[in-house]
Amino acid sequence: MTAAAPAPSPDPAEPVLRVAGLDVSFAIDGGSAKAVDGVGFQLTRGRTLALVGESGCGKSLTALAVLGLVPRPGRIGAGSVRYHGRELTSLDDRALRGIRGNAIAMVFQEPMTSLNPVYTVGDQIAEAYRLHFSASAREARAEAVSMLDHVGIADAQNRARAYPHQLSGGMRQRAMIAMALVCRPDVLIADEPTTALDVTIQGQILDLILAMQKENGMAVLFISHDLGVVSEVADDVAVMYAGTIVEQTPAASLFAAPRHPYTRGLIETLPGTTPPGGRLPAIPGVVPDFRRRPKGCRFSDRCSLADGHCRDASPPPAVSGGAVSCWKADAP
Amino acid sequence: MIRFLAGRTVQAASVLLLMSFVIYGLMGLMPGDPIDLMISADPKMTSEDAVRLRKLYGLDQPITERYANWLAAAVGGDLGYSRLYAKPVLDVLFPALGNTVRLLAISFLLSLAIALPMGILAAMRPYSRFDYSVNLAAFAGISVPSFWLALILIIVFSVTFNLLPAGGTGTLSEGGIWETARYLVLPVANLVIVSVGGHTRYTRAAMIEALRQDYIRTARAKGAGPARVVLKHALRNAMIPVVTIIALDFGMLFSGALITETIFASPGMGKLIFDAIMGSDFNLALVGLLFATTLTLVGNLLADIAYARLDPRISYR
Amino acid sequence: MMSRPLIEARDLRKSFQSRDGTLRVLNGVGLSVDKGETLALVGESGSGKTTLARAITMLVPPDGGSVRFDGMEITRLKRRELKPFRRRVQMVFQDPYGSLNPRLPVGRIIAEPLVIHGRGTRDERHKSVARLVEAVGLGSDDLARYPHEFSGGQRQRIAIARALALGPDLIVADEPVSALDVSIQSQILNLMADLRETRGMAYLFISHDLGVVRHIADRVAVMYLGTIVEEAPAANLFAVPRHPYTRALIAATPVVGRGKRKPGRAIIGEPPSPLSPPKGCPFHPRCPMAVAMCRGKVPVLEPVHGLPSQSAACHFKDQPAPAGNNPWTDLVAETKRGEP
Repeated sequence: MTAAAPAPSPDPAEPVLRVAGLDVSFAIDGGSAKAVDGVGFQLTRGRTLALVGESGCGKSLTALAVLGLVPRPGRIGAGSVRYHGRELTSLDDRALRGIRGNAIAMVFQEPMTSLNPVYTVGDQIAEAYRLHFSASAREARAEAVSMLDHVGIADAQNRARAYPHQLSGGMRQRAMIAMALVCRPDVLIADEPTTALDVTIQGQILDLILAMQKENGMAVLFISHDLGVVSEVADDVAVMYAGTIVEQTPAASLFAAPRHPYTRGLIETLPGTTPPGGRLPAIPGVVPDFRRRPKGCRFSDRCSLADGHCRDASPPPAVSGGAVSCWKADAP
Repeated sequence: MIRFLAGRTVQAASVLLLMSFVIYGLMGLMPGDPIDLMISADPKMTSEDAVRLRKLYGLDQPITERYANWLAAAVGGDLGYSRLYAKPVLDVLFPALGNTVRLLAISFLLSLAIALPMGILAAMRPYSRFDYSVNLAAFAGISVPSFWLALILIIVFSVTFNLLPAGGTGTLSEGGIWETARYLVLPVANLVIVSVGGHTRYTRAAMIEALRQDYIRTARAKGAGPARVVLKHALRNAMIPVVTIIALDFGMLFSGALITETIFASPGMGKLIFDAIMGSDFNLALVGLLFATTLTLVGNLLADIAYARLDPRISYR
Repeated sequence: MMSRPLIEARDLRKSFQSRDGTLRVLNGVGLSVDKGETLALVGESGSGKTTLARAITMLVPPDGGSVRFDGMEITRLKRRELKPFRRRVQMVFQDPYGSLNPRLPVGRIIAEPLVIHGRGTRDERHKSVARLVEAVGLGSDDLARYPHEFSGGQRQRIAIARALALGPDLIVADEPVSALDVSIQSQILNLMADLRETRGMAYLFISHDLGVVRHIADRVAVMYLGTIVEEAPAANLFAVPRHPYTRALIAATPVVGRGKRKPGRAIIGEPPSPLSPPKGCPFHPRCPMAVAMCRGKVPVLEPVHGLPSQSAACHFKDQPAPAGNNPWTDLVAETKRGEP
């Protein structure tokens, strides 16, 4: 399959990817529940948007929805995903396959399980290349080796012949990144790419992603639960809670002056940000299951500022930069 | 690889040795010996004759002694005579072995040829109507006792409709390939029906497990289509457990073949061993059972090789 | 308080045989925890910190070395003789789901240690279980429910309640908050701090997360490739780390508010395999300060000159740290080193 190179955007400030009003729903007894509800954001060339939130908030589902890979029985209920202005949600699977791994590529959390254990990493990278470019096996192989070399794997020629289990965790994630980048995508979705790695290796992988981005100017959607990591890589941050984006803003202002009570809580509860010892500020309660969310603002049952209005009416989701989804934002 | 094979061969040989002792011992425990049979067949024999014959054949010695003698001869290549057929046992066994291997191979391949696609298709749409039908059919096959099924097949296809022979075998010289095949249809059908259900269920379960893995999501995110995802990325991983279970099942299929041959009066190992035991032809039964054991061990060895070839994480050490 | 440590391990050694050779997981490790103290054990995966925890608790008997608990040598005790020790030392694991029997209701799970050690009558046990669930912030109506009905944080509370049942002097907690969401993590850390306050037990707290460690620990021991490379009071360790590996860990820990990362800050290379550890200092292949001596001579864990409470296993431990890369001391200079 040969896919045309992505059409260059006429206006460099025009977003590469624009997501709006995205719902991902699952059928439950007598109806459906939205695991992702009205999510909107845009990715710009050369910039990184971090989607941050706790487990179960819908951040990974959002990423999979962009690629049309929502696992059954979930489905995209509403919304639009536009890549260079082209609507992806209405494309059939065949057309979407031309985009996946080619224009929009993805890196996952667990490089051990995300690589196929029975094929060499070289074969898996070459496969990604041949799915989108007409190339001989030999050409694809050479491309894979040069990509492995490019992501900092020494002795790439030989390492290409290694099976995933023969590589260390850091090497595997480099191989994953090589596989994602071999078709020179202009959007990279990185879903918790360093969560399974040790902290010194995490630093190397973050450097690698930033270096690759600098080199080819791709837009990065960086998904993480770790605000520390997010603060190291993000230009913009969207905070997700219970299926919606509750706050979306440039990273610097988010960490300097968080406006949503949930964002504030997340930052304050980080053990590294407070003086040692003593009690950590804590957010009471747990993230609600997506089938049993509270009425009104989803955070109202855990929020110290919530009043009757918060429990009755949902604030509009934060779908663009500088927005916050809270009736009490900026309250003292 | 050579070391692995050598190791496994030594292992198989020890299993075989142990089995020979166990089978020999069990034979010795059976009531009556060949001399008793001779007495009942020949009323003129006296008890003095019997004692003399027992001494002549070494049957008066303790069983360990007899086993040692037998083993020494067997290792030297002398597996002895079949009393029933009055021929060296190997001359009796080899044609039977050929028939059994043919029956097993055809049934096994046919079962896999049905089970793999069915299992894969069912796994691609778990809990769909197709999946339920496949499961139902598979359970039916697993639940049916093979001897009962064999009788039903004979009643329906041989007795009622008179389409196929109820038993025996054809030879190529008499009726050509088709005539030979006609004799194989019912035994093969019997074996396939009882084994295909299990094979389908294993394949389905392993494929469902494989399709759930992270690397499948990776393959789809690369832009791979459904056929490539299933046949390249999931299938090879799914085959790793399937090969193991099917190999363990091979012994079951083999014992199924023995029953099937007996009922269809097909001249294979099953019928031979059955006749040998019923006729107290100990030597033939012993060697026949050891051949059967060898066949199962070879099946397992082949499965180990396949397993190691499929899974790069297994090294031949 | 007595001067004798609650638990003291010396020169612990443990190897495992694998297909590819001998894995030397612990290479002569020593540590001690005082009564009521929290010692954090930090290191990356494969550093041997979990094996160390299991060796000191005799879950995995060490190959060599000594462990004294409250003055008594326990490595040579028989299974039966270990029982009083087992009562006084309890464990909490990373995966609270895997460590709770899914088929038992929570009340039975928490009561089990009491039953095993034959504590109290049925009625008394009932009462202590009720007190324990309250202490960890669960309700008495939770006792009849099963582990799968709880969230990860609640399960960790159950595991902690079980660990508390026998009134232990030491709780060995192996990555107790790593599997939890941040908002839940702080709840559990607070709970552990509160329990220490009210019950006065000591913690051996194993973690890879320096932020968490800095918050909860009195003292910190840093492990690398089966040895302790630095040990110091928490405040010292984060302010004046003397082992280059400690500095690398601190530098690599992402902390909110430092702004976007500058490239080239990451430490090079990966931890070597315990199957073929490097000669000399185990850290030298990745160390920015390594010289010829480091490749030949193994540094010993010794007190740092002028800082008697702090020890490091580095030939250069007495040189103050080069500035830079410490998110908590806010030193801004960056070392300029490229990607591997």
